[in-house]
Amino acid sequence: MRRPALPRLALPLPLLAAVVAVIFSCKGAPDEGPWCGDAQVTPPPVAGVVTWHRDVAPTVAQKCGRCHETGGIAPHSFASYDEAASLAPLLRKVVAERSMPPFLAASCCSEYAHGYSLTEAELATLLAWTDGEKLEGDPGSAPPPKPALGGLSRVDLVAEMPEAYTPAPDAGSTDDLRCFVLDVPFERAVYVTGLEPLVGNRELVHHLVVGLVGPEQASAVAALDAKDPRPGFDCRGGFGDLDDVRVLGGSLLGGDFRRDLGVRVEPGSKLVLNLHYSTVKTSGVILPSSSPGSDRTALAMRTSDTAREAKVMAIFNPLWIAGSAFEVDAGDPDAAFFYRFVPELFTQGKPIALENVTPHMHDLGRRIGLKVRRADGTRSCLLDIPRWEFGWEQPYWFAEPKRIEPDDELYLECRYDNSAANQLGGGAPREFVWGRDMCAAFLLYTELEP
Amino acid sequence: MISRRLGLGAMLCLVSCVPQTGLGRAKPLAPGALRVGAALVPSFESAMLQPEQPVTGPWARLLVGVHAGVSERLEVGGRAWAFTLPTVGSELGAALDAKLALRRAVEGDGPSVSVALSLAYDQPRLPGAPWHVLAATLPLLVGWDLGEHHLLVGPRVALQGAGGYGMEPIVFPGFGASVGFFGHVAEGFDLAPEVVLMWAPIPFGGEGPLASSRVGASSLQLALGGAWDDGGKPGSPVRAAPQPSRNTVP
Repeated sequence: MRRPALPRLALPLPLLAAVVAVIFSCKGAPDEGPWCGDAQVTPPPVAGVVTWHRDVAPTVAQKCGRCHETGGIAPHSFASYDEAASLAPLLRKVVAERSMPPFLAASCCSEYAHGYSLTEAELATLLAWTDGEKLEGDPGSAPPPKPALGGLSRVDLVAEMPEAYTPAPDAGSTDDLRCFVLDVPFERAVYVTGLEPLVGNRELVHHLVVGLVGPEQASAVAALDAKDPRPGFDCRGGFGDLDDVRVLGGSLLGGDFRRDLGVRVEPGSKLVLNLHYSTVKTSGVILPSSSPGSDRTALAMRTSDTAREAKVMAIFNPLWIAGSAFEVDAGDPDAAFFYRFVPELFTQGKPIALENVTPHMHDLGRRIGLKVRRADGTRSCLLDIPRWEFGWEQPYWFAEPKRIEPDDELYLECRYDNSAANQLGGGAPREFVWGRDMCAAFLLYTELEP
Repeated sequence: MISRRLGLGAMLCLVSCVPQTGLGRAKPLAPGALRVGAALVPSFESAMLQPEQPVTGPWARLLVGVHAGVSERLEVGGRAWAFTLPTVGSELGAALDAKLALRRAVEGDGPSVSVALSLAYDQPRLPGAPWHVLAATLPLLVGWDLGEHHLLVGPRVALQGAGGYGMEPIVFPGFGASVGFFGHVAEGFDLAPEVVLMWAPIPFGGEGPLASSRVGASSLQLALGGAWDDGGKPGSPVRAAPQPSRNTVP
């Protein structure tokens, strides 16, 4: 007797067609919005006379003075009344459009520690001054200085690139991602409790990521360095195939870690400085690729023998790097990529406390946001940057740590404007994939007990 | 760190190839015969995310399958596989297989040759949104009867598509080959170790002159399992296989 009828190939064909349809339509739609940063906020009215010394200077000193000082990394100083008054139209423009101070996170999304964005009241006061008679006022009426924001409270170690490097973007490109190995001369385990890049050439350095390589991988990373005849080594995809690389930070604006946090560094470890050089200046001018200038960036660190140990995870869809998975058409003004991720791969199922988030895109990025989607379906906004600014990547420290439960899901969304209007340096837009731009978020966290 | 490396393997198994083992002997089952198999399939996945620096990760699957003979030349069946590591990742998939004999050997007259078509759906995932993979594989199976044993070689081509939440779909070919041995150890039972190496020319991080050196993902799959046939019904491969002569047993 023959066995029962065998499966017929014709029967599963509709199923196969459905699977094909799923694969080619499974990108899906972004999580429902809108993000809170879309809301337009009208500054409150300002009553009375506004003067420089009494009303404006304290805010400018606190939130602009770190860069806009004589000899600072910014091109203009607002340190004195005369300087600020002469630049009042520029000052008004950049604060009104919220491109300065370059704290990009929407305050409606979450509360951040030491955010140097202007409050609505501060913005209203500044606009009233720039739009009015720009009165100087009485220097004696100045209130006590506001507390300083950011920066290192002390510097215990400065590690510098071994030699200067001249970026060499590939033909047709303006980007060069290069890693440099820095020695860490610790003879015992310490905690890095703060770091601040000392950028050698601000016109070339778009951003940097600081990686920490344990002593067991120190020879491997040294071999990578030695293999490349030029200073450092190419590291476009990150840090290469190195085990145990931990991200210490990724920002041009560093400072003390918050809440006694530190990242443990064993003796014999190496720092890997992953520098993204761009020959496109923030003004849009493209530096000549034959002689863009050189850079020798250093890293200032604060260290401590004790700290609360913090860890770092990187959130992005690892498949975006493959083929056309991250393809954006030329001229597309609003391409979206998004990812849902339960971070238990990093947390081994423990709850965690998110301490900060550092978003990462390049110059074609328009918007980036991060949410947590709770197991009960509710959503909490962690970060919303409605107007991404190339060159102002930085960590955003939460005012209070955000507890993430083991079954909570993180949602990352990035949007890109690849229209002709958003091409730094001009030129026609062209189709691009991962590498020309990226979408990622680095999260600093501590583990909690269940 | 080990869990991340395993997670990397889970991710890489998406861009390399779905399980390729378990298609059986080159000689199709006799009409009405049934074969059931199971295997542990550890694999070693690799992708050229960096020039000259492949990123690697291990992974594994538990594979089960059932094949049946339809005619002297046609065998059909299916396979399913799954694996999960808590907090690391998981994979779930299935395939429909059809094997058509181009040459069915009788005693001592050379190899059996079949062409097989396998259509597979695979769903790997790190914790979070899954990815979806559809793969069509076309192996050429060449097998030699060594007494009641069987040596199998299987060059193959594949076409694979992958997609997922928040990404554009990607489609890429795959190339590879397998070597397997069916060791007849008991009545109705073969031990069937098999190794497959697949390579897919997937570009990673694609711009600039160095892009051409960041191409390729590979998967080395090792099946450790066995297959049970239906216990000697007429026409089954065990009973139907020619009895070894002293001259042909190595």
